[in-house]
Amino acid sequence: MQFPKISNILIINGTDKFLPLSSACLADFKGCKDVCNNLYEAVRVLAGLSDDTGVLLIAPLKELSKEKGSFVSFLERHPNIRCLALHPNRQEYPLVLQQAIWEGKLWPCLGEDALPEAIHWITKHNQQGAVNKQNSSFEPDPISLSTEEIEALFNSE
Amino acid sequence: MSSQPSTILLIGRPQEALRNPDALDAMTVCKSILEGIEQAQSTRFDTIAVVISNIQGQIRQALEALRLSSPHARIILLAKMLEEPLARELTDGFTFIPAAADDYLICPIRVEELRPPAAQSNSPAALTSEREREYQERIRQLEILATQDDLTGLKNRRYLNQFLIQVLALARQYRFPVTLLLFDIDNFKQYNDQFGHSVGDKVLMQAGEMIRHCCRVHDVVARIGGDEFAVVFWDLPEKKTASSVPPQGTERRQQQAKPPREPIFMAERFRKEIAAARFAFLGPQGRGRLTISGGLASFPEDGKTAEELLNRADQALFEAKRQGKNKIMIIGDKNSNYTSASKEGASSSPSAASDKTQKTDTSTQDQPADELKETDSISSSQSPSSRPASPENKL
Repeated sequence: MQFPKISNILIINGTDKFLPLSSACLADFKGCKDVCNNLYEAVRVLAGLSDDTGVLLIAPLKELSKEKGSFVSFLERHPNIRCLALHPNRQEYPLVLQQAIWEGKLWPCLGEDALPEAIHWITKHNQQGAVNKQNSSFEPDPISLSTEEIEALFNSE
Repeated sequence: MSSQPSTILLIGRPQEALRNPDALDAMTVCKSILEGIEQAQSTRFDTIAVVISNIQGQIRQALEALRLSSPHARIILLAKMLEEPLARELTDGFTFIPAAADDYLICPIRVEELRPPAAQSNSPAALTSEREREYQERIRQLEILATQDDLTGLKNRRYLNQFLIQVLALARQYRFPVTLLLFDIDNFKQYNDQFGHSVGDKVLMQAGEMIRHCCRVHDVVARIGGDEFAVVFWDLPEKKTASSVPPQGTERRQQQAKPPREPIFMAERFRKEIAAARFAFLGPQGRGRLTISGGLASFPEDGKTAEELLNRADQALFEAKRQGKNKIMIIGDKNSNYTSASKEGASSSPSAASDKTQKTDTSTQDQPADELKETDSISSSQSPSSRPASPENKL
């Protein structure tokens, strides 16, 4: 399925320590942006949108985990939604959400610094599922350590 | 998700909520609240029934979103007995907090109970609906009669038994304590004989009102016999999180061995309040005439089933009577040591609580205030012969 171009950004501000709106990149986001207070409000807004409208949902992972696996089912019913889960403190969350991250239904973002890049990446790469490595501009470089670094690693004890 | 047109939306598992889940063709069913919000956004419903236990996150937020999705629908909460306080809170509006739902029903219900109220009109259809509404109202009245004590407005024995079974099942799952208090009014029969039954009724009503005020909203207070009352003290289980994983081994045993402090405090407060209260209908000497005796038993230390808890609390109540009345007694550990609840409530250290053999009864300082002849008010159903033998020389 061809994913529609992302034309809206919906933000759940939530009550977590890391609030999406505190991020400068979102505050300055020039696109169409809407803000909700919680997951339920966001689902109501998203359910009212046409399937032709590509949406990026940005929310704290804590907020998305409120109803456990129900949110993942919701995402499965709405392939026009991409979801970026802010996950700064790497706490443990319900297994079903971890699974969704693993399956590429949710994209985790581990900190404020990484947020602009993550938004850029999602809006650019619209393929559902895992990262397509051939197209990815974020493919990691092969590990290469200098001789000094290797020595430091082995002699650290 | 069912897509057939319907005016009733049920959010939750039908098996949990309905007596007749086979009548499901009359409604749309969504398994989760998110699915329900989504469905309500696209379809107009007359009634939306939400099974409270189905919402895992913030229930008020969820209901607000549901209300916005379907502003014309009547939102009815389907609660288990032990969720009734929460359901009541969500349906009662306050000055700054509007009601999150329109009404609540205790599960399981019949599908017919979810039908919307009749429109106010004289058309034949509306008249039929009007009759239906009356019918529903009668059902509601019958439900109240079946669960409520007529005289005091408290819950009745039937409700208490059902509630105990439900709350103990939940307590086993989430490992939270439940404490049962049984108490009766000392020498009640003599008040009846001396002042007449109408005064006796007033005594019961005032005592019922006072115990209600001494308890928390979610504690269940019931009148279970003539002058016998029961209170179930329990705590809302917390969400299952890493921190609420049931403690294991020694830690768990230590946690369970603690005396139930809040119930003891509330029971003792009630005992003192009633002993100091003024009962105008008992004449000029009405102040300080009435006293109560009570027995406490806790899950899981004293009993694991409703029947066991009732028996153990009854034993403690009997012991309170035996020791001169105007006391709340608590059953101690599995060796059936009784101890005065006032002593337990006053002691702050767990070690003091566990050392029951050294306890002396402090509540004897509060002498029974009634001036009637000191005879035991135990009714025939509570005759000493029908009670288990009280442990001796263990105090």
